[in-house]
Amino acid sequence: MLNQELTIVLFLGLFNTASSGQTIVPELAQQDGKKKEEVVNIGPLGGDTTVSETSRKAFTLSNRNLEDEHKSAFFLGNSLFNKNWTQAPSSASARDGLGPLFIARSCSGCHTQDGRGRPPEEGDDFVSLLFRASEHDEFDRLVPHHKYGGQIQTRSLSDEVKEPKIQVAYEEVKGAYPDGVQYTLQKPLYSLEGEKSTILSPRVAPAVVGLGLLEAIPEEILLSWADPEDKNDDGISGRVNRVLDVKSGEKKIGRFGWKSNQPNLAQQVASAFNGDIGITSSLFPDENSTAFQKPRLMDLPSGGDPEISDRLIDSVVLYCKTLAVPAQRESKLTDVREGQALFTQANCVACHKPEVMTGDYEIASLAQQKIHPFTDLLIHDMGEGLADNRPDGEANGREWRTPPLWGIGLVETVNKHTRFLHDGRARNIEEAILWHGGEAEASKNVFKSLSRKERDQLLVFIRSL
Amino acid sequence: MKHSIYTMLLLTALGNSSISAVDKAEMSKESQVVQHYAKIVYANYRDCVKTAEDLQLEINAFIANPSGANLKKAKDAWLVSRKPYGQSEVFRFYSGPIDDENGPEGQLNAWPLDESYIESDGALKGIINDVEKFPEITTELLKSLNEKEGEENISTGYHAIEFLLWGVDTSTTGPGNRAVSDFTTTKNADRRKQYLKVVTELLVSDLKHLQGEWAPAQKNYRAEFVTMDSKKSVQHILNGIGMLSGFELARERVDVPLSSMSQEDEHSCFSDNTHNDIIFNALGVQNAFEGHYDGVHFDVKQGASVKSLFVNADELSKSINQSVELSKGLQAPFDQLIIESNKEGRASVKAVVDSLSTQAKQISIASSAIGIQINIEE
Repeated sequence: MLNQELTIVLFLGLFNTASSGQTIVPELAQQDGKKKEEVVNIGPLGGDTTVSETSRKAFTLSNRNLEDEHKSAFFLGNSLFNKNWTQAPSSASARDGLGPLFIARSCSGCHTQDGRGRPPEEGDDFVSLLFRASEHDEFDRLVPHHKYGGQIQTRSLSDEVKEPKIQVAYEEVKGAYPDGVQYTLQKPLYSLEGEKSTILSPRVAPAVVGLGLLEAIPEEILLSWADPEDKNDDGISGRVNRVLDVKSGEKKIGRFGWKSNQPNLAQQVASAFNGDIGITSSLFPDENSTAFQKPRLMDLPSGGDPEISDRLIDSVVLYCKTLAVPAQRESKLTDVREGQALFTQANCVACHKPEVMTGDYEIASLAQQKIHPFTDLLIHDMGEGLADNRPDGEANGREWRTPPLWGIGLVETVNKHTRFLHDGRARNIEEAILWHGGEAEASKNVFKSLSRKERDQLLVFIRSL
Repeated sequence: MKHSIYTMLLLTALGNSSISAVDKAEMSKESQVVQHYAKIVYANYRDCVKTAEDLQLEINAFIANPSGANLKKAKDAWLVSRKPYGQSEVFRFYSGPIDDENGPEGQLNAWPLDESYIESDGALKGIINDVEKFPEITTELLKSLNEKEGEENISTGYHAIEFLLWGVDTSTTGPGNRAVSDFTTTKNADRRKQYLKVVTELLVSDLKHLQGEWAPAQKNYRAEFVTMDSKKSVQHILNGIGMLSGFELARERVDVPLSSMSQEDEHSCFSDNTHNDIIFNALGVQNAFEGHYDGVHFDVKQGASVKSLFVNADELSKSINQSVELSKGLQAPFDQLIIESNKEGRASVKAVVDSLSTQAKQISIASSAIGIQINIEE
């Protein structure tokens, strides 16, 4: 234990050298035996659930060990995930009730091929990048927007309640590596048309693979990873977000969403149906409209009470729990292995946890699996550059959840883009790393101080996931 | 060309010096299977093109002279065109010409189709009635709108044509019954005709593209397919067979409507042709496995079959045949078989799901046994 603390201190010493502008040579650290973390031997990323698939359907397959008894529900869920909801009343009675306010007409409208969304092309509307909205009330408390509620819906069935457009301007952020290589990041600045005082929080649709495994990580492990007072003095103070569990009415540990603001997948799915497609469920029985909007929507018929039955929404939840994580590619390549060593050495693994065991779980095939999600599900201060300045649960405006990295290298194949971070501002993985700040500042600086070849190796490793 | 193929095969064989004599014999057998499979694919796509051109003739005649009799002829031609297409779907699921990155699969056969996307006249206007946003209906426009912002936003393909010919099916005994006046006096009738015309043009041209990619003795996908490592080609073939059996047919097309009990989840919901879609898909698997094709205009006689690669070939044959027979036994219309009160109907549909799922599982296991890994759903 003492030994471990010592190496941490030594490692921090290296960070200081890096930030003072000198180039450090990570190999030296290795030679001196000053490596903080052991390089984990990466097995199948999602344990026995893992699928070896590298095509466009890489995110769409079921867990390879899924029990037969769950298969009908998986495929029913898949179908409900992909298909459009229609305006009520409609001949399509099982899937009517769209809106009145909505962003997309299906889950797949944003999570295309069960994958990741992106900011729109110039001139297109925002779809798979949505916005939470808040404003200050008379007591200076942050509350949902009085007219539009806690989330902006870009589309509506009625012209009476059209919500304002999101406007975006870009600012260039220039920087340079210690070796002189320059880069330019693109910082988006969002505003709500005609409502300058509204505080917006952008959230891009994440890929849907491996979520049941993340739900199956025992709470004790998350708590053991948390270090809110930074007692180990590594500059990283991950916290659990505690959020309302709507079903029990109690506060629970958050795991899902960009700020770990949903305690479980059932609530995540029901909340997305409600907020993003305008579908009511037994968990969220009210439409997503505000007291200001409701009287203006009186004439629009509902698609049932609730609009999605428990049986159908349960199948979507099961589907989201059991989409398989694709296997790592080219794990034996030297560059991948070297890249992993550098990733470990730069202490990226402090938050992007490379290995954990799942605990007991309602779906037996997800329980007791050794997995490699590269997340701790905790919220971290990521610095001013990434801050949205809008608290969420116990997360403050600078904190974001560590996203899992499994599947990240296949986003390009599946979704035809490489836009990363919570609002897709990073145009590739390298930019995503360069945006890291706050608790991740030191690791970023280690990355920056690497040689070009080493930086490429680290990126090759991340892309192999 | 022929010379280079032999050279490549030779090189492939030489490239792996550890191959035993037995493996070499197997490989040439695999290569024969691949060659014969390519013949079947080509004949099947020729059949698709020919029956789609027949459909186009009838549709153009109907557009020129919209009458009940001409509408009936167009519908009949559509039903015939579905026979070869349904069988050709076993050539999907390995990023071949039908569903590689630029493949036309989504443009040809995407379903279920949200009819409001094409025709709604409500707050969210469909393509036909949104004159302001889409002043002119062209193939390019329909292509650009297909599967835009949602997998059910379907503007092209067989099912768009089906919807335009039949309309929404609200009958418990028969299919949709679109009025001929939709093409004469109803609002935007001319746009509806234009839509039908260009969407059919696109269908024919997409199918011709597939036929071209599988034509013999040309620089095309087929040339690659028959010269690449034949183990890889066989893996492709088995992926198609396995994924159509399990994921696509057993689950998406039969089990999902069975569990949702909802007509909107059936494959050809406007024309009540879903039972035939099931049969033709099941037959397509059988064709690819047994090595023959018995089409509308073109046939391929029995030849080197995928079946011959397996030790337990007869067991697989039996399962595949059982699925075909059970499918043929379904009592149309499919939308009535899946309703909650129809216990007998639901049992007959469940039997098809189980048979196809078992078949997919067997194919996956049998493939592993001959050293070929496939990622399918069962």
